[in-house]
Amino acid sequence: MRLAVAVAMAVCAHGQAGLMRPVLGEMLDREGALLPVTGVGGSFQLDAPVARDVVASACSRDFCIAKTESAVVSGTSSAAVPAGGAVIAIDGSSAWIYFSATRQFARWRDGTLTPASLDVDGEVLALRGTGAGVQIALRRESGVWIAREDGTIVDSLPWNTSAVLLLAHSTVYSAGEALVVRKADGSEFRFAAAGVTALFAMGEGYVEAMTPQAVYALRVIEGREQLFALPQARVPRRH
Amino acid sequence: MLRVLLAAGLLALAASAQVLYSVDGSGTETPVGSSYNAGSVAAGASKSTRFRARNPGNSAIPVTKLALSGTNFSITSPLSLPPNIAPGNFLDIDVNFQGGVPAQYSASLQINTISVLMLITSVPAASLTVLSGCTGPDPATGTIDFGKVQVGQSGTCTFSLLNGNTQALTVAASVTGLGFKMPAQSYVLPPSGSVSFNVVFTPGTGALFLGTLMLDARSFPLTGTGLNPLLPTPMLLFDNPAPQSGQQITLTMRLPAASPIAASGSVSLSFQPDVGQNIGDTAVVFVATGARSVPYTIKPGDTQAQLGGQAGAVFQTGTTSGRMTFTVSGNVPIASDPTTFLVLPPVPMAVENATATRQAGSLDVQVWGFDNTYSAGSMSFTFYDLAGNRVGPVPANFTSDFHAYFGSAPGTGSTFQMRVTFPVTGDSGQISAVDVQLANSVGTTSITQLQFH
Repeated sequence: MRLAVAVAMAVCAHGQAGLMRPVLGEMLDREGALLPVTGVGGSFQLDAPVARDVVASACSRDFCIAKTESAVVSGTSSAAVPAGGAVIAIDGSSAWIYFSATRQFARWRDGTLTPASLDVDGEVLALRGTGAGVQIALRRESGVWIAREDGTIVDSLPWNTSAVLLLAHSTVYSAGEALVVRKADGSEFRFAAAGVTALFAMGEGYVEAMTPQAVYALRVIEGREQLFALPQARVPRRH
Repeated sequence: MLRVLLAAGLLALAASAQVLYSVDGSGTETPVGSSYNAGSVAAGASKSTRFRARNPGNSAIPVTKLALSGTNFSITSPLSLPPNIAPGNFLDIDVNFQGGVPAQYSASLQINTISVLMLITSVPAASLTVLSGCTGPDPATGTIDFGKVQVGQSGTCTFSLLNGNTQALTVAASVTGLGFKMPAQSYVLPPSGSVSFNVVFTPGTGALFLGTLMLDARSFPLTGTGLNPLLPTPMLLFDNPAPQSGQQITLTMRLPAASPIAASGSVSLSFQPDVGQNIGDTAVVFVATGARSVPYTIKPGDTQAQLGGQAGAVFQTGTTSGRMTFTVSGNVPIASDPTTFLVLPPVPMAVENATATRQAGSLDVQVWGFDNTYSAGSMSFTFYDLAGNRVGPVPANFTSDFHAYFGSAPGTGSTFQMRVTFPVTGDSGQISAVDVQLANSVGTTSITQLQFH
């Protein structure tokens, strides 16, 4: 077959030129502000906050979703939800959400939040949408497990795991003074990061790791895994 | 030092009545007779005596003669005679005596037609020398200088007293003045005997200190300077010996010696880009502060500063070639300038990520990266079909696009997300991979066998 290939700078869906600032995702800072992050690994830049009083967030290449004290927000859509913490996992164009205070699951799709009936045994640490269902990282007395929604165990994590993020093709968890990327084949990358209390999907290829002293960005791009520090935001605080 | 003045009633300056006084150290005038006893002076030391000829009359008194005769005496002022002393004015005459071998000395001082017999006794005395820790006594002033001593520390000066006379001496030694200390003591020195003693200078503040060492009637001015303690020159160290753009580097601030004091301040960085004054890079910051400075603290005894409360401070080098300058400022003086430079060289384009996607009738290649030379644009794409055959290369020049892009947001660095679309005639599913070559002014970066999805 004969192929003819021409070249042109792309015109994106929004009519922009084929060159743009690289948007890495959104960072949740330690004071609950959600800030867009641009740049490349090691050279991050923060834009002005797009939301405050955020307790959990997740971003993919396609969209971002966040939970504040009282609502789930994505783009211009929002829905009132119970107060307290949440676990969010983006699954394609939708997202799974677990509300820790009420132990309720829900599905966010097309700007609408729909309750999901799931019964799990243990403390929910993370979710992973699989298209067909959801996997859940659970802390039980017996340890930390990754289970399907029907309870089938698919993997386990160290007993001292403090935070987990289930990505499509890998698992990121914090145990002791290490931040670990476990690949689908079971191999692991370990990075020194003590005291991680929470993990968020910052954007495509990046995981945010929050500690009391610093906020890290873990690049999980295949073959380019690396841990960076995220700059502290210099934005006016509300009092 | 005693100063003396000749009174007019005793020394007739011309025909009119004049008054001559002695002038002591406080400026008090005392009439002088035909002789004047200037007291004593230690052998080897000198003594200055001031006479004052005052004209209380209504007309000027011409000065026709000023003479002094006598061994070891000299007139030190005036060096030349004024023509007269105006009404109400006076003329000071300073006479110096250099003490010789112990004996009584005399001299005749004559002003115009008036003479005064001046008497002075050179008495045996111990000679003072500095052994260590200071300098002096100054031959002219007798001043002993302790130099510069850091506040909180001490400088010790060791002196020697030598009795070069043939008779025993008792010397009373004492010190006055804030910051100078020695126990008051009397030393008995046999002929040719000597003794050493110490004076300690301990400045309490950063200032000039003055004192006096008294040896019997002899006085030696003491001087010393208190220096505020200096912070040993910090060394600014980086954990990467060959830093480049797009990196996070940890800065540590170490001291070559334990700090004698507590100190605090900030380490600041500035960035001078290669490509032009108006192109900054806001990514060049310390991550702990999100700014171009980070606070430091040092406790006494520390050999390493805490930067933002941590042992090290991570900073971003940004995505622009140039030079970073690190400066240190704080609340205490630093021994020397610790300013440190870090050069970020121009490099070929850096690629963080790349994807290749098949679309209906087209192929998309996306690249995330940066060009710290701001000269990107020339590139080439070589495709591979499912059999591994090459299609291309397809050259492209997007220099003007990059130029416009970089110019649209100056100061934000050179990061970019580039999407290039290739319209395809035929089945794009036959294309399996692409090689991408990205050129800038430094060189070419290659992405090989990027698989289409």
